[in-house]
Amino acid sequence: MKTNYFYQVLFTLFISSSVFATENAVKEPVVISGTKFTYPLIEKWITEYEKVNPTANIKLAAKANGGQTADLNIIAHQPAQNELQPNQEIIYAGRYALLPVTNNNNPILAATAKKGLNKKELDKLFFEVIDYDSDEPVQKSKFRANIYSRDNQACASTALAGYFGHQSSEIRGKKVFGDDIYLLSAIKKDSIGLAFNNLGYLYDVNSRNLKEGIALLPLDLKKEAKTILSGNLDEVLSVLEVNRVETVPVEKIGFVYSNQNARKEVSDFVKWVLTDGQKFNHDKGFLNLDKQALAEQAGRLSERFLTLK
Amino acid sequence: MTKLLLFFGNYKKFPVHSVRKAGLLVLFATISALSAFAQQIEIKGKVLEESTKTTVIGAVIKVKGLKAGATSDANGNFTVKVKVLPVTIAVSAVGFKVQEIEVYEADPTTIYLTEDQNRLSNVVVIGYGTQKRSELTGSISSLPTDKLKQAGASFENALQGAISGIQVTQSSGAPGGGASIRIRGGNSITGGNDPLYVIDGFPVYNNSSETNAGALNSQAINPLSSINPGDIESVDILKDASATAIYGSRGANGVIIITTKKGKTGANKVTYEGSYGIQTATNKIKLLSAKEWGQLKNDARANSGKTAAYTAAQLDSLGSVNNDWQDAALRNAAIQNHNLSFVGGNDKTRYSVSTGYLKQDGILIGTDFQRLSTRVALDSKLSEKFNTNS
Repeated sequence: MKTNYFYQVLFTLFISSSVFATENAVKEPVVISGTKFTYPLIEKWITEYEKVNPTANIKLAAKANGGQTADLNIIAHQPAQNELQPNQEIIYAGRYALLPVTNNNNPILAATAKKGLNKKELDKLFFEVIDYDSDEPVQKSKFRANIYSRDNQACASTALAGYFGHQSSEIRGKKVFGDDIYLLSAIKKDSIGLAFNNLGYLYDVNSRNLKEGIALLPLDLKKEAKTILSGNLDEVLSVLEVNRVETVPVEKIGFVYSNQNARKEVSDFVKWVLTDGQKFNHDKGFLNLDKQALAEQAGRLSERFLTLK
Repeated sequence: MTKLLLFFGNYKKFPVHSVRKAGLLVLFATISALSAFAQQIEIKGKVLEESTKTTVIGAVIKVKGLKAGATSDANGNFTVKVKVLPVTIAVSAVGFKVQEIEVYEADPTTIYLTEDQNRLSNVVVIGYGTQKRSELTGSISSLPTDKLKQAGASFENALQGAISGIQVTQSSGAPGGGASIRIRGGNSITGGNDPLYVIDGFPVYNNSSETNAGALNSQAINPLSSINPGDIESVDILKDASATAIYGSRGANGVIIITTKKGKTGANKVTYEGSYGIQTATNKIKLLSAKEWGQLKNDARANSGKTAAYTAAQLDSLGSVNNDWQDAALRNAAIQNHNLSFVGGNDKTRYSVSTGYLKQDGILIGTDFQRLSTRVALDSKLSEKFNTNS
């Protein structure tokens, strides 16, 4: 009798588990993965999207746990020629800016306070190009600095190097592994540490002020862009939305998707990001795409996913 | 599983209490071992070459400040165990630049090393400009800059024993005394054999016969000793026949090219270097006193069957007279050297102002050397095409 009861329980369990399994198969979540520093923005997008679409199931996965199987991969640099698979495409959804930052005790702050550094001087500080065949001696920056950057393959490094016309392997100094936020930890420890970091990490997104212990490197800016160094996130964003500032690299963030296994849930989410989602960009320290680019991206999206409707 | 069986096993077979205790003990040991293992954080990664993305085998991964380290295996993989994060690891391999990495998260990482071609990019000054050492075919030696710091009154002292193929013989032990330098051996019996000195482009012929200096004949002092070694940026020595190509017959005995320091772009820099020392005779000869000497003389004469040279009264009259003339002539001599320099400049103007003071009292009374030197080097870029140097 006892045995029968046991088998009954076992059978019920088996049935129920298979039911759950089939349910899961139907509602497989949309998995997003990629460049970590964009996660605060992506998370915001997901929570806001799920508010208006309660049935949506979107998951943000750490890169290590299967970046390969994600439906959308976040990319924050211009892909190299062979970086994307033939069936992969990018839909851009926002922009981010990189500002040079240092320890607030760095003597370079006082030394450059008057004039600020221009693009050439930043280039000299951050990059080292060794041309073995050149007779010219290598030009070194007159400032003593320890440069910190992410590993060469990281989006921020690639974007930074690309903006200055270099390879990411030409960035000087030490590498920091993990996340862009740790660049700030590194320069807080090193009084002559220098790094580029994105606005979302440099500023406290709640108080909109620059985080403690760090200072922006004085830049040689035109009149209309002076407020970049004001220390207020909203002012920086408003300047960078309309102006192209020579010393501030701005790069696009995009979703890489495979057009082979395109799903409607994915396209719905991306479409929302391109429209309603844009208003959350500033909140997390990211820039919007301009209207023309947005329309272009939305056009491409509907073209791709027309068949899915 | 066996441990658990032991713990929950058949009580009848074993004395209950002991098995339970043993089981508990085993379980406890396993748990504590697990927790000890959990304290270790594993940093795993792969080392690749930047441009070709091929694996780097045998790269050394060292954790800074700790003894931990690893090397990459045949697939470029490595594992380092640490207790806490963040740590700084330095990855190095022969032929690659050392890469320092701060690890904040123990995600599996890929480290890319860039090639260090390490080509000889040093530049040497030759008669007709500068040339890369790697492209140099002539016989040119450069004096290591650290040797210049050891130079005493004259930089020639630093040349001694520092460069192959040149013979430096000090012709006078007096302070500021010169040295005879032979680069290509003695070529002439009647003519000079000294090399040609070129100081910042100006040829100076230094005749060693003029370098006598000392207590008795106070002749001209070595003109090269008037250069403060602290002002010298580099000393290059042209040893082969190519030296004559530009300096003609004067360069037949080799050429020593001296380049002095120039202002440098950058923050203003003040440098002071100073030294103080005492020189003393290393060995004095022990001599007899006057009386001892007289007695010895008498003994010697007696041994050869001659009469004594001095009478006992004469010897006694000498008493305890005992002058050590070595002490009278020699002294403990101080040598001091002070250099103060100001170097700096911007893109347009660079300056270098230096002043030096050297005072060397010779150990022989009557010899000493004093040099007070001041030097101002000013480079100014008046326009794109017009530079001035002074």
